[in-house]
Amino acid sequence: MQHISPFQIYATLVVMTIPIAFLEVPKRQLVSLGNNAWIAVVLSLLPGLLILFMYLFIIRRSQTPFPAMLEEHFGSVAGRILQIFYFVIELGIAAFGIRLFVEFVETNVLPGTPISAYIVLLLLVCFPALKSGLQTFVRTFEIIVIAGLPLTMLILALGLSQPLNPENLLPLQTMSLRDLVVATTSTSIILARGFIILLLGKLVTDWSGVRRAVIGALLTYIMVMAVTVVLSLLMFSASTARTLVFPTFTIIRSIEIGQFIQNIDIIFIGIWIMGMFATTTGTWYISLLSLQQALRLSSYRFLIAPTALILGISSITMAENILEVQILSNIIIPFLYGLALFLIPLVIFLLVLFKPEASNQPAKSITVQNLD
Amino acid sequence: MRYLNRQSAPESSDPHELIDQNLTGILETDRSNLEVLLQNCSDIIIKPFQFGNPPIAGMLLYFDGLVDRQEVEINLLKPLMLEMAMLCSQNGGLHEDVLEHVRYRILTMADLKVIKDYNSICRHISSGDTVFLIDGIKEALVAGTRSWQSRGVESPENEVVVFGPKEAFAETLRFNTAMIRRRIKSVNLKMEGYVIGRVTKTDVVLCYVSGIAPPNLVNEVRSRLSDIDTDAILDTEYLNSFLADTKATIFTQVENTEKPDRVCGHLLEGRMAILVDGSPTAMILPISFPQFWIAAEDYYTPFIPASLYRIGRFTAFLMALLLPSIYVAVTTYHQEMIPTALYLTIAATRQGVPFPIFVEAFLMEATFELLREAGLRLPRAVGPAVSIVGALIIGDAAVQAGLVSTPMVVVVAFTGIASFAAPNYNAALIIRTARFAFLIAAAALGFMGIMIVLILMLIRMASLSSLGMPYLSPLAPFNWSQLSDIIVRRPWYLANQRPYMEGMENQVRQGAKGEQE
Repeated sequence: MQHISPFQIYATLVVMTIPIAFLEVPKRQLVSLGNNAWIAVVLSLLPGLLILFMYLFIIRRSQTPFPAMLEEHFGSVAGRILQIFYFVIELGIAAFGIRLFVEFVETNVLPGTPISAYIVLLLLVCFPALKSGLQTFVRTFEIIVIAGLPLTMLILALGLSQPLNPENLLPLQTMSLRDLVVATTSTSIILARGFIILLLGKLVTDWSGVRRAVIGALLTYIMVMAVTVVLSLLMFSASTARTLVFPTFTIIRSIEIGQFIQNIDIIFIGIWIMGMFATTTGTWYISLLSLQQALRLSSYRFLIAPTALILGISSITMAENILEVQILSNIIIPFLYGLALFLIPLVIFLLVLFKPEASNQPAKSITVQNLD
Repeated sequence: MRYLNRQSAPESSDPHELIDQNLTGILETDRSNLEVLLQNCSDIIIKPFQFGNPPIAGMLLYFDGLVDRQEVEINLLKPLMLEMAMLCSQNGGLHEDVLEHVRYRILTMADLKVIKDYNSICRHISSGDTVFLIDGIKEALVAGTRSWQSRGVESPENEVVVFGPKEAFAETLRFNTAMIRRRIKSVNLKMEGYVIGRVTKTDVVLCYVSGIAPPNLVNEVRSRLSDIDTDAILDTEYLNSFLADTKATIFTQVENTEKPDRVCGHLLEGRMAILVDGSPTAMILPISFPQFWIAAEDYYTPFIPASLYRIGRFTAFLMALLLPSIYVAVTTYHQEMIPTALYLTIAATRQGVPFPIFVEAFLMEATFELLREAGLRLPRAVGPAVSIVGALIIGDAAVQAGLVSTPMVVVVAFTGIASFAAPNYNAALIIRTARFAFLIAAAALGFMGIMIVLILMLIRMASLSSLGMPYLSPLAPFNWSQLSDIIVRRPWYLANQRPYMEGMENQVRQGAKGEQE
């Protein structure tokens, strides 16, 4: 049986949440709450904690990892239907992530290059990672976090050295409760991408280490997002920041040190590309495992090539332009996150909470396919 | 009963059949068979003689140039021909087994063995031993008389240090094992011998410290060495392709070193070393990529400067790998990163250069590599001079001719210097190979291309292992206690534990619990 270390759990959670959050969270919060956007980010600590601990509880009370746990808790037929469902949903989430990535790169990095080229490149990178297996790409996630997180924090810290206006954070009381709830929810729901822990959690032997890793990942997420949102407000006002498509990158582009170091956004983008590779790989992996389990296949590897085609084509056809991508990002994707990554796990949580352990389908009767 | 009926040996004169046969005990027959096996070997010396009273026929065989002739004549022939005769005269003949008598009473040499077949005879005389056959005895005696012209212990050529031992391995296996044995005086230092190579029959030694090296890894290496079936092993690098977990990769999964002190350091951390007769390098395994950047000298200097140098070495690695590609990416796609004044300077120097920046960079890097290779092949007397002149002419003349720009020469020079900072030649080879991939990616897609190649490289490295140990450890899987001794040089008073390896029995390096024999 393979083993995953707590630090690998931490690294996986960080790369599954933060890269996508950089694109989605600051813009959404600034539009909803203006100068109070940072409050929603900080408040999302509590729902985020609840979501992640819900996942941990499910792992503790389940005998099998995801996706076999769907059969364990819902029965063989319903479980396998849900596995197919997760295959489709996770593939859709991965495709959306790819589309968001290429839209950003095409807009801000290398305009003029066809988006299909970026899609092919990203898929080209994820392909060998998945082919090499779970241990390989989890180790790659570790390297990305070890190298990328400190650099990211350094770049954000450099942003604090720029001319800032603290008055942009005021006033505090002009937000509505509804907006606050919606903004907090939309920030917290990104943490549901830590769903992959339902798969990896069963491979960790040090349970206290897993809890520490989860809390660490949550705090890292909150800290990074809060700093990003606060920086957006301090550097630009709420009204200006609202108009930016990707506030995070605009912040970094504005950083200048000593009239020599400037426009370092490309460095940040380089780190972020590594994060996007990781999040796409993780999501794609969940999708492949779901299908492998549903069809009782011995390996998921031969599914990589055909699903790569599906991913590529669906990421191109899902939206005509960046506006439609934004609509997807604001409405459809949060709904999918809510359904697949929160509601269904919530049902499982309630099942394991109220159902006696003996009534769960015995794990021995469920064939758990090879995770590597 | 050693005296056998005098029957003729089988009439087969096919060397392939003879080599696996045992001695017949009939001296003439054995001599004929050996002459068939050793036909056309002009350096073989066969010395028939008689000894004892009544005389017994005997024969010595050795290869000229591999033995100490004085040793043969004084410690083998003389006792046999003179002392044996005197002894027999005094005692009225020989009343016991001749071979036992010669072995335990006559010959004073310490290294004596008994062998029975032609294959062993051929192997031993090829290694520099002298074989002694006796008429009527189906066994032969092998005396260790090895001595040949060889390079003495010199300073290492590729691992130069300022402080610390400056001995390097030589081509003679026993010299090398002795250098290790001198440093680790524990009987737990094991040196298992193997003979590998159907034609070369090369002596190979596997070294490890019992009680520290994980037994499962030692067994794995034993198994892999035993499974090698090839004609020749001429250098430790030949073994690399048989011992590596993954063969088809630019990332070497073993470390080669010329320094015995470095080998000893690795042995004391639970790794194994393999020495090959005829090769002046030792192979260390298992090894991980971060360890290629640790120089032996780090442990002979105070830990604070050693740590700074090590961090500098990691920086040099990144520079050597990425600097040309970053320059190409920034000047081609991301000019906004460069301050305006600097960009104008670069643009001015590129005035009239007919090639795109990528072509310029590629040509300069390729030229640098050619110069480096040429410098290795040139005779020592002229090599450095030609390298310097070549570099000056190519650099200066190319700039003056407008073929390349000055910043490009500077970038390539920096890259070259940074690549020389690698303490390990294998690591430098990785940089030299991977650099071109980054260059092409940077030319195609700028920073994005660099990141794509970097991710692919990371994936490849993360998938590799060295005897099962992850290639990127202790970075991935992350292990802080070991990583702290990789990034910086941990002072000895804090180094209580050895770096952990799967199956290691004794991890304590310092303190009462770690006392060993």
